[in-house]
Amino acid sequence: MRNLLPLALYLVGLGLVFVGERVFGPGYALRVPLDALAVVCMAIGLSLRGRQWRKSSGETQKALGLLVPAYAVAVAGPVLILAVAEGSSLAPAPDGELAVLLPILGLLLVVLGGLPLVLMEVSLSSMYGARRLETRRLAESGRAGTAAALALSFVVALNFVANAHDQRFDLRTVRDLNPTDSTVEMVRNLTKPITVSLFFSPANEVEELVAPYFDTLADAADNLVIHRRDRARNPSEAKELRVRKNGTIVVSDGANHESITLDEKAGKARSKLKKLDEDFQKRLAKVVGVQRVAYFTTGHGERSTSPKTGDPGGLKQLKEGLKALNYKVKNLGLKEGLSDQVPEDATLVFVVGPEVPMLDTERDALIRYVQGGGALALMVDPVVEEDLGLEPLLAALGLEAHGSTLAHETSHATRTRGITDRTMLVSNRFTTHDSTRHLSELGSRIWALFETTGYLEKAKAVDGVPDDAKPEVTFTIRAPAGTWADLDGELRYDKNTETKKGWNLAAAVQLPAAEGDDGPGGRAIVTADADILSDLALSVGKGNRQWVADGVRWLENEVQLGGQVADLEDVRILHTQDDDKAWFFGTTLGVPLLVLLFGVGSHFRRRRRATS
Amino acid sequence: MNAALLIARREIAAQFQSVIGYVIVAALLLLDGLLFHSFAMSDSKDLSSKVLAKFFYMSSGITGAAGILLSMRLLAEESREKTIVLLATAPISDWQIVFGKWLSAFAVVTVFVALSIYLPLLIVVHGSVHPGHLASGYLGLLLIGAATSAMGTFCSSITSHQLVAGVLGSVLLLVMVTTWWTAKVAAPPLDDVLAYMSFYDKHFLPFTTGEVHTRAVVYYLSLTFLCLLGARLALGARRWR
Repeated sequence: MRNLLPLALYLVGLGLVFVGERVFGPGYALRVPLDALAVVCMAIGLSLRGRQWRKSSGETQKALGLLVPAYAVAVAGPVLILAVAEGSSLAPAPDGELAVLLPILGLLLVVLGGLPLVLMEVSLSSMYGARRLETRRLAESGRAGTAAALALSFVVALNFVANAHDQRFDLRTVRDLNPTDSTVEMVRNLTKPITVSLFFSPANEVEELVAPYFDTLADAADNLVIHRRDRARNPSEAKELRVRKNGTIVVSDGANHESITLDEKAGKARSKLKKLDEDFQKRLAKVVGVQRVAYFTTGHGERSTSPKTGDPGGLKQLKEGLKALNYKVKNLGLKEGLSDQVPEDATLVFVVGPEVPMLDTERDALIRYVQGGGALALMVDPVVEEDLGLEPLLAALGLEAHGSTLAHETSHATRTRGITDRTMLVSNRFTTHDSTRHLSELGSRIWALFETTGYLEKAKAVDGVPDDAKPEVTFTIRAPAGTWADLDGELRYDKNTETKKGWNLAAAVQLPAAEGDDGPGGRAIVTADADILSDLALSVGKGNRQWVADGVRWLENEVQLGGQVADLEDVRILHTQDDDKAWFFGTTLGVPLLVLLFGVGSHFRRRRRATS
Repeated sequence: MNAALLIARREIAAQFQSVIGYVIVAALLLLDGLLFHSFAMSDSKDLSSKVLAKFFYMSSGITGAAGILLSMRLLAEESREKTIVLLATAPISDWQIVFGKWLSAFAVVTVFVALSIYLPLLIVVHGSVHPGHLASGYLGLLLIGAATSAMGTFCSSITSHQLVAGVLGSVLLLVMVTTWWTAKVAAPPLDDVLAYMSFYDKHFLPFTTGEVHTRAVVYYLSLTFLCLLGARLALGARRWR
């Protein structure tokens, strides 16, 4: 009975069907001969086993009687597939659902007949040489094959249904949206009625996510009213508020409208939902306030607000951030009259990293501006060796800037993993001050990046100037302990000539109010790093972003509106050489070592117990 | 079920009563940590979610390999040392033997996966991680662990050499992983079938970004079931082969 020819013929036939139908298919000349050959092979296999069954007797005939039906079913499958295949001449092409069902039925027959057939043939061949065939063994193999075929069919069907009716669960979607304290504070300070209209289709999943957020705000403020609207049901209101589709949130004071566009599907709205608190703050600020103007000085090699593509030193992100805070960003140079005076509409003036000297008249205009109650952000580039003539401006602010580049052996960001990384200081030493309000609250959880920085010191006292007329200087960010001013440019600490200490990196300056002015007086923020506001620093340093948010609001004397940058948004990782070492040794090696020590300890404890 | 749990407990005890189990878990954690620091955390400008996705990406490879390696000896060793006869003559079914053996390997994989939680938590130190993202990634890792342990158990049931079982399991996994590539050159509707069978690209990638697809869960559980069924068939074949 050890005759595997019928099985081999069947398998060859199956292979030919696959090649004829899948590799060649309709239109190929080889298809029909291959299909015909396949049917012939399988028919010969079936007839061989059939003849053996007819000629045998007793137990053998009984055993082969199990095999022949399996062959019949297994052959019927491919024949059916060939009969209903596209372009087949064996049968008329089926229509409608039959065109789908019949090939599937064919495949099912192949599996239901083929798998038991193969297992039974294997079982049969193992009985070669035996005095008689054991029907029980053959039947059991057939049952195992049938069970496997049924299970396979079920699993395939289950996966087909699962694929067709796939459900997607986005576990990263924010399901617990809550307004931050600063947003609540903002709506509490509203002096006029504000309406927030939520335009969503009825029973929308995104509306269910955002509604509790706005309900919380409405509960906290009398001047905030929430309307739930459907664009289809409230077309006139939608038109008035310029709502083009559902999934839109409109903040309005009746005359000014600002909208936030979400999606009606939670998965697609995910990224915007994470920034909902921040976006709402910005829209509310726009509706409530008048537009402010931020000037950036130009013409002296300053960092550009419109940098070339890929320039990490540009101020594009800062510009976008200011726009989001309802600022209009303008350039300020000779053409705009800087040599005469800072324009009256200036809310804020940025001087970021000039590389060539300013005219005395320009510098004096800046001094007059800040002493007259203006707000100035001055970032001095430590790398520039030329005398920029900024000393009088710095002196007016009670400061001196020193260009020696600071370096630290470990507390720095990693870029090249070389010694040059030592100048990319990271610091979380923030002083408690309104300009670093949230930075100091967040403490060690947030870092500010200084790509290449010098340091600041208080200017020497000027004789004859009374104390109440002196600028009030607060150093708000300090370098980590162990930072040295690299005098020789080698980026290696030389204990004979260099000193390690926590140098002053940023300062907030409050100037006394000018005579006859009831205002709070001028304010300035100064750093000895021109790159602290660069696109690279703002994209990497969460602390830098928070510093801008806090600093700008302090300069504007709007501390009451200042808020912590919402942490719902995905943030970039900032890790330092110190961190890298600590994490590497503490975790990569430490945890496996702990597991190992625990295992060895348990092992020896068990052995000791067994011995005793 | 009790018999299956008994077998699983015996296997797990065999792993952890010696130092071998701890060495395996420690080695896997070391590898996971090295890859995490070398690749996932290498770019200091990456977003937290991207770092986490990278972690799951790499961890899936280690989890898959661990599933195969931990299960390749389960039945092969019993066959080689002829102790399979003892199991076969015990009053337990083939299903209970296979399930118990698989469960033991899956339990060790689960211990490894669970212990690796400290790596994504490191991202929290200077970034932010959404718990849902963590949950989906770990669900994906566990499903990969279950499927590959079952593959290893199946391969272990068809040979008496654990090394051969390991190689077979790895090849099977590799074939399953690369079906996406085969799908690209196959003609419809076979390309859809092959693409669906892709072990990694089609089904695991969404887990790394915080998405759970029911089809992926069904796929991995189906694969686990089919491999265990195959192992059970191979074990039962001694009665009729």
